[in-house]
Amino acid sequence: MPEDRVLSYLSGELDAPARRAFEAELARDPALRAELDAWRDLAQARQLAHNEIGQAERDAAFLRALAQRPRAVRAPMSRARRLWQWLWPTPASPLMPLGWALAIMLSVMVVQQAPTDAPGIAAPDGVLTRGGASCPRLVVDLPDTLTARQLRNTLSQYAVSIVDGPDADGHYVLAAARESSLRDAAAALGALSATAAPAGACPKP
Amino acid sequence: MNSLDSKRYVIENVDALLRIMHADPHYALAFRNKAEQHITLKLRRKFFNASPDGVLDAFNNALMKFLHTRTFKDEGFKQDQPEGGWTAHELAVGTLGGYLYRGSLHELIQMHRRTRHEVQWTYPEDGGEHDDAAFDDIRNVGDPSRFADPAHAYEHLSIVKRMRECLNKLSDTLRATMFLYLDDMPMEQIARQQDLHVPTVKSRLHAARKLVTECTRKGMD
Repeated sequence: MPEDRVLSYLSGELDAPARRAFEAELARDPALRAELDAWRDLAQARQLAHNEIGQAERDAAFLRALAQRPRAVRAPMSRARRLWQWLWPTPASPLMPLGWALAIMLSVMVVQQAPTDAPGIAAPDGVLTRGGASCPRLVVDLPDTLTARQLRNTLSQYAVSIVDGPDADGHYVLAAARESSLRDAAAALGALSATAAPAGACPKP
Repeated sequence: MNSLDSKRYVIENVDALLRIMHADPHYALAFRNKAEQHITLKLRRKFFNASPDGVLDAFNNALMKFLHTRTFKDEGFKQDQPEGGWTAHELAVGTLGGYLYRGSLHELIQMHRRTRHEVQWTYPEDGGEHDDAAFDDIRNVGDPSRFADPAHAYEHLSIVKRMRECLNKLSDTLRATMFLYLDDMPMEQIARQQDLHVPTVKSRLHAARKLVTECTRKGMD
């Protein structure tokens, strides 16, 4: 039956000679072509129904793929552009300006607190200040019998420095981190007199 | 066609298209759904003995490859671009749709080669020997079929939709046999599954087709 051959032809079950013979007949017979067309329409109707299954999932997958599409290849950036991109990456976070403001503020605070060797700001007499603090000072009258070696050893032992002197009266000004060190050093040196002086810049270690 | 379908965008290249679709999901889905319908129906008409699942997978694979490779040429958008730009529907049935059709065809043939070497496909309309050739020439990916004519395509789609409704009105036994056949099951296997003889399967298929044809004609009158 020709109708049965249409079914076998469409499902690919005819061998090559039978297929060629059927196609030759198809070219001659409009009714056969119409039937073939009707079957193809049916296959499309079945496909249309099948397409409705899982369409929402396919739509969602398509939108996800759109969102994840690879970015276009960019032209090579200049060095300045790369630096700017490093400083201010795009898309920028809304917190980016706040972050940079905080970083700048902290930097200024660190600079303000740091010691500086600028000529106009440095403490006199080659001394350093510690965070803006000052060291106690003591004006002493040293005995004439004191040798240079005894003086050096004692100052070194008590971490005391001579920051000024001798003045017209032969007095020296000693400075140390602690008041007690000054007093102990003065006693060890056999100072004839010891008078507290206004605190001043700390000596260099 | 409603107002959503007729929204137009001027599109110069694939990047622009992807940006637009990312920004306008309605446009993106209108394009995807129309392309899916258009291309799967064309494939199914061309390859009767392909499974509906296989046809659908072929289209979706081709679409995803397009999104990743973006190899469609810019001229494809610029040539014949309507004033005001492309609607999603026009893109789906135009040159881009043709390009995706070629990609889907390629995917379908590759799937077929992987799974069904032993069965000879029928190429009913235009041979199909060159279908998996390179897709370089934009001019060659236009739609030469009956789907290219909007009026004819609309009329044909109406018939197919009516047929789908008529298929669902068949009796359970006829519908089951018909669906198995249309879902690419060999007739001998249908006979075994339904405990029938092959001639009985063929008789049921003919009877079902005549009922559907008659139902469709009544509905279209």
